[in-house]
Amino acid sequence: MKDKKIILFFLFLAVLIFLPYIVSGYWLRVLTQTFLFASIATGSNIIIGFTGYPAFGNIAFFGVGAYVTGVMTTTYNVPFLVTLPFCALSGFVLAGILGIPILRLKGHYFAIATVGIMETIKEIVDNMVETTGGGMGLTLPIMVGEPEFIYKYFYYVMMLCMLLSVLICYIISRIKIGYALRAIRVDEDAASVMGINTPLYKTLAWAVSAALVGIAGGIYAYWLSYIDPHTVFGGTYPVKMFAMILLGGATTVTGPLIGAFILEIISELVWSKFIAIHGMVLGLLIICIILFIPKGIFETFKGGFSFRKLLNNLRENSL
Amino acid sequence: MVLLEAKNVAKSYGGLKVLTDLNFHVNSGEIVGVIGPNGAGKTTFMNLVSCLSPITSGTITYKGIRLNDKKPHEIAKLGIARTFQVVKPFGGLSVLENVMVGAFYGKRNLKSKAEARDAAEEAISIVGLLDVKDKDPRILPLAKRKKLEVARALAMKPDLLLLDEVMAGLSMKELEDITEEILKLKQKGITMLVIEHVMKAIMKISDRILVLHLGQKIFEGTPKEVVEEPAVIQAYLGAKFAEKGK
Repeated sequence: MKDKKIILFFLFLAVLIFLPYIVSGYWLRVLTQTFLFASIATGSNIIIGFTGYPAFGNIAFFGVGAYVTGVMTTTYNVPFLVTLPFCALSGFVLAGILGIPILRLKGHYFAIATVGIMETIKEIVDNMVETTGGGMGLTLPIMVGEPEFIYKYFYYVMMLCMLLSVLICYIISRIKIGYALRAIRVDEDAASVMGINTPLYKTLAWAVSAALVGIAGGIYAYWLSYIDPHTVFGGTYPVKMFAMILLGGATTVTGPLIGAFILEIISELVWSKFIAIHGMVLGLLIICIILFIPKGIFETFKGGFSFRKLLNNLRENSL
Repeated sequence: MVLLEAKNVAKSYGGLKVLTDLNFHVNSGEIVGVIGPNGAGKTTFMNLVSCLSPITSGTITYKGIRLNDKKPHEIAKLGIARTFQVVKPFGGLSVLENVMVGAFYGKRNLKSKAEARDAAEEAISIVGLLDVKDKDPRILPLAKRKKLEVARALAMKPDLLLLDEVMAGLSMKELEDITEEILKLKQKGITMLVIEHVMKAIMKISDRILVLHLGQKIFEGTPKEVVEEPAVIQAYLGAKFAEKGK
């Protein structure tokens, strides 16, 4: 069973590697966007799914990463790829520092605090007009080359970012720290009396999560070559990120990745067919995911698909 | 040798005094029972020892080390392990993985997965859960989940084990089993502080018993002395139990 999963994953990877030579530029762009969301969802899952802390405002680090790349490439002429470790570092350090006070909160309180952090950073960036361009946004240097090459370049860079997130999640799930995070998720008191330094591990989990999301932000900024605070600090990203994690399964390594693929492809199809009501259809879809499959498709349909399981979930969710 | 010592320990929540001026010690190798009616402060005392809750005044020392300012994870590293009255298995992890957490992070502080697995299997075999080691603990009956709590604590390689009502809700057969297991642990040299309401069992396993009532120590002595003590009979045991005990 385990071997089968690994073979499937590498098969999936092989398809992704060769896809740019088969599909059109439009679909390459859709897939790059999907990789972006998969990176954000998988990275965020370390704190949200593994550790059980609903960091709704984790997108703050995406924005931070985007602006690190933006400022470094425009003001200091640093090559794009060199900026990425700094995106990771800024996310890691910022979450590490903020985590010490904020991770004392739990559940909804923590979720709201992270949204507060996201809004605060957005306002700071918005007001640092000389460095960040403020509300006018920041235009990054455009990559030189044939459109086809540029499409492929960002496709592969974003894919590597997604694979890095998956790899780090996989490693965490397999080593000692993974056991600590899962214990913290279920019961923090029980975890602490078993010898787990819960503040340290929670902070570390959030910092790693923020670093991965930060890298995704850096790539996004250079890919679109324009960023503004209202896009990179919020928008629909937090809701979509959460929906992807829930859809795939919050406690699994590949769940958020699969959730991202399903939701992004559906989102794209809905957008192309019902452009006027795209937001509404997507919103309804997210509500259905939360109501019917809050534990993710794999956990819900372990023994095969059935409507009864969906109804049971709905019943368990009722107030 | 005194392993754990409480000196003038008090705990208050605002104006509510939950424990008052508690003086008490546990010797190495002993099983000490803690009894008393609900609200007597038994679990509060256990929370103070495991540092889940801060002490209001007084001191608790373990092997001569002051515990007052310690964190729960530091207590575990010193060799104190505990179970919870309301069982707290880590759902989503198998029974074996639950116990591995104890081996990874307790006094043993093991680094490798293979070592942690071996230590966990040893603890699981002591409590007799080998047949369900790959199961999710959430589907196990209460008796097995209570055994899992004990196994998790044992995997930490404790010198002092705090057992909080591990016998509550068990059948007669299960009670006999767990009583035997506790006595076997004593033979292995583990010191235990046991909170329990099941009098028959606590009388059988304890070397000494501490009786709490309304946050105060009302008596301390051997099981025989406890059942004969009028203050304990009046506050907790009742005349019928005292008659049977004699």
